[in-house]
Amino acid sequence: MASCAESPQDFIRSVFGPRVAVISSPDAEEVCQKNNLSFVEMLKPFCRPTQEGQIRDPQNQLHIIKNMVLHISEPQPNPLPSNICKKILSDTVRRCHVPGDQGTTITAGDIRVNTTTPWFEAYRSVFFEHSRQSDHEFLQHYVACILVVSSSHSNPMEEFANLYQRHTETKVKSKHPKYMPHPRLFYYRLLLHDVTYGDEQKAQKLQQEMSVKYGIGQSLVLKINSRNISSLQDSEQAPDADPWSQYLITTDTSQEEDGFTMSDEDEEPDLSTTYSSPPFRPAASDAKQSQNLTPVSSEPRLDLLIGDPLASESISDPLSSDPLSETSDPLTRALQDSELGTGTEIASSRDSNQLDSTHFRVATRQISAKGFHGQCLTLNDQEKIRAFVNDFTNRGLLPFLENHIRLLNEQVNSKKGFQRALYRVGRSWFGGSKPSSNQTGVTNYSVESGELQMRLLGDLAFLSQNYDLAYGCYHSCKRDFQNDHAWLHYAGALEMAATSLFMQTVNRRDPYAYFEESIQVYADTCKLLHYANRATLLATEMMKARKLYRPAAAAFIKMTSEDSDLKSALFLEQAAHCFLRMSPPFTRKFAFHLILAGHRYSKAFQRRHALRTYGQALEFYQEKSWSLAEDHINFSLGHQSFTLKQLEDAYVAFRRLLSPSWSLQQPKQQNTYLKEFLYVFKQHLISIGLGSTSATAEVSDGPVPFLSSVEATKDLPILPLPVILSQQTRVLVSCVAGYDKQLLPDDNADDGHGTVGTEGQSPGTGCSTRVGFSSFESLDADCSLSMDGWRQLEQHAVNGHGSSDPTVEFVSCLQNHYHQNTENSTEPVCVVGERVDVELMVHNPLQIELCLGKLSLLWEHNSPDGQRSDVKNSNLHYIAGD
Amino acid sequence: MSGNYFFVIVGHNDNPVFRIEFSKSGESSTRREDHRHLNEFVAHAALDHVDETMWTTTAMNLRIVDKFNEWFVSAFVTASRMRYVILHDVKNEDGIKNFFQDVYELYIKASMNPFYRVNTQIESPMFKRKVLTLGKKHLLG
Repeated sequence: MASCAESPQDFIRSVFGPRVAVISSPDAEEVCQKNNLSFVEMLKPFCRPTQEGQIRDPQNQLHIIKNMVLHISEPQPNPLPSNICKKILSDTVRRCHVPGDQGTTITAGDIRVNTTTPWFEAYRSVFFEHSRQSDHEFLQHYVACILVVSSSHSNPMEEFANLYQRHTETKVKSKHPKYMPHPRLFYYRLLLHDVTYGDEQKAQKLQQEMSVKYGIGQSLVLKINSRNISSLQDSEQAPDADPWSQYLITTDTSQEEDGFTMSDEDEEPDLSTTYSSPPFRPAASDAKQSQNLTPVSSEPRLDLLIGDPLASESISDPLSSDPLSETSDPLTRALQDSELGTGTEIASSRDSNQLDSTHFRVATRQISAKGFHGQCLTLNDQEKIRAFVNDFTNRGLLPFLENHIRLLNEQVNSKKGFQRALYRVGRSWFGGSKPSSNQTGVTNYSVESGELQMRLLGDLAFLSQNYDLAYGCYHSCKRDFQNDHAWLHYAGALEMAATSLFMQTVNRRDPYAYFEESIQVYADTCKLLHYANRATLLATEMMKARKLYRPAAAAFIKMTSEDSDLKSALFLEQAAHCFLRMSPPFTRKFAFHLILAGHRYSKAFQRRHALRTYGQALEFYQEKSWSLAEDHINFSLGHQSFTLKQLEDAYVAFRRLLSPSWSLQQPKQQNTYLKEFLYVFKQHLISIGLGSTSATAEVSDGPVPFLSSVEATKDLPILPLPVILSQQTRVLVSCVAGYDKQLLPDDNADDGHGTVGTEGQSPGTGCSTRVGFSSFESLDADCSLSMDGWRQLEQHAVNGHGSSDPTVEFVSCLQNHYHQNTENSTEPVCVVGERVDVELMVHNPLQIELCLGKLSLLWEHNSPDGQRSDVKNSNLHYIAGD
Repeated sequence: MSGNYFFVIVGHNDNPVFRIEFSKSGESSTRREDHRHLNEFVAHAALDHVDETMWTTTAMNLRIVDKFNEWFVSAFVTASRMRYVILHDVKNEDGIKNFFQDVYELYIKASMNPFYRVNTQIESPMFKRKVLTLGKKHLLG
């Protein structure tokens, strides 16, 4: 698979980080809104604790924790509906389509291939971010909860208590979101203090109270908003860099290429409907609740609910061109795309009575995209936020986890041993009541059951990066699950067992067998493709690390299915990259899978990606005379380019279709190709300003042609059809004009070897009274006539007239036809005002008819002093049919 | 039994030297037309496997080397490393083996023609006719 920005270990650590819920009171939100950010958003850039943490495992060994990533979010009453998830994913991929030049490349044969695929990484991050919580695992349950109150509240302590109370109630009542089973949820209280407007003394007092009541490591006072913007003159805008902009979608149109909205808008479903369903209940109903929160802010936000918060128009952040946002790795961008993309906030999470109402209130970024973020926060403040995160993690979360791991460990161990053996024996003797094992493997374990406790222990250990312990737990509980035929739990345990095996520093075994089995159980027995996909993503990441590209490719291909085009396309592309990295590289498989991926991309309406993959694959098929394949690629390329309004590329692609190897295509196909080509060609010409010309130059009736269009015709590209057989061109000079009055000005078209710019056809008959040939027909008819006899006669006639005067040059008047069999070394002489006929042989290699019309001959005059005239347009006589 | 076969002789530069399709009469031609390029793609992609497998065995006939959806790909490598690739959707090992052998002999004779340059297209209509007969005999019979 393609080279990713993160190492696998980092990837796993970032994906499986502890999830933290944030419950903030409205006044706290207000404080943050002064920066154009919500509290969660404010924390986003600081989610990685900078200090290393330490944790002791049950055996009292010290582990160092590095690179932990916290996932901070607001708890939502309902999981995202899957169509919104899909929309987010597809938008993420769509947005991130150009790897740029900084991608790494490897050479396959003589072709360099860019092997970074940032869109895949973006997709992956968003996928994991929105991974659904489930009962069979605890990794994505909220481990901690931060209660945030602002110091400007009238009674913060009481507010803390209220929030806590309410939260515990909702936790009990609602099934979603999921938290760690009580008492394992860690509560942390944060007091936000606004330095500019807040009361310092009050803050101090509160700090004392909080540290007394809640203890160290469970509460903090965070002082932010040190900068007073009202006192800022217009002289300085907040000059600090804006690290938040990379976490909010800056959908400025400058980044969108042409044709994006145009071509894709027909496929984008109207987001307003998606977001507004289920319907939003007006804030009036909130009045029922005494403690209702933010009904005020909900209204204006809904008003700003644009149909498409993810799409084009938005006010671009004037300072978003700071170095952070442009080159930010797509991971963080994507991480926050997801956050932003739905940004659903609970309207009523705090109202226990309104739990059933499914409100979605989209936090539109129109508010925050405008202007600057964090203008009240100085660098010092940012440091403080960082310190808060560190404190929270190292002094709050980690000791809490440590404690609980220890407790759980004891519990689990005590349950093991004698008790368990007895239990098991008893069950096997009496055939006991196994937990209902359905075919789907959904087994209902109570949270207190031994198996789930073990799983919980494993998960906690994994979150605290204690992989040995985690592996042990997973291994034993997988055995239990297997015995109980609880397939979903079994698959989950397998998956995590494999992951922890991989993350261990000393690996004894290969985790891949576990992975394969888990993927297979997820997919076949439990039919939960979502988890199967997740397991595949993890598995392939690890296989890539161990350079097992072939099984990785196989795993990817196995997961491509009919249900999701985008996912299949991405997986196929990754499989292609795996093939490329094998040794020796399977370049042809790579190209083939790129084609398949391109096809799926176009089905998933990701035109740019389709274009890109087809373009990449084309290099492998060129010049190898796999004509059908190449034609298919060119055709698709042309199509995609055309839809994206890249007419130049479309034209080039279609042009390649008209290649000489036509014999293989069916007539119907040829017809289609030709039609498409002509259509695209016309559009192309229009676009490059050759105006209303059709494929061949337009001929006017008047004596003065439209010179401008004529001049432009010398820029007309040379088409490969029909094929001109230049050797068989014939020129007939100075025929007596028959019926037509339009005489050519003096010249020859050329020196007799018919290399004319465009297709031309010869006019036909004219009557003649001269010696020599007046028409090609007569030439053909009398081809046996030898000119020698006539020439001799002519010579006699001239010479016999008088003495041979050396000054008089003998110019034969006879020869007026020139073709490949005649002597063409002297330039023919033509009389001014007389007609010159040119016959061109053309050949149609297609199996279909070609209709040529409006033909004209372009010619150029070279005067003796070396000047060349412009290319002029001859007047049309008529066309002799083929 | 749907016996569709797509046979291609591939030269050293991955260029197809000769290609031909066999099918039972009465196949809907439209379906095939849309997928003719797919045949080429699959055959081309299978070349990787052919190249890999040919070093693992001394036999010329490599049997089935690859699979794509419902198509199997069998291959045969000649002494001059010309690769014969055949796509088929039913397993017909014996038929294919005999077919390969006979085509091989035919190819040897064709390549001994002093006017024929190796690795270029085989244009001879006689060759094509003979291959057709062989195909009918071994593959479709």
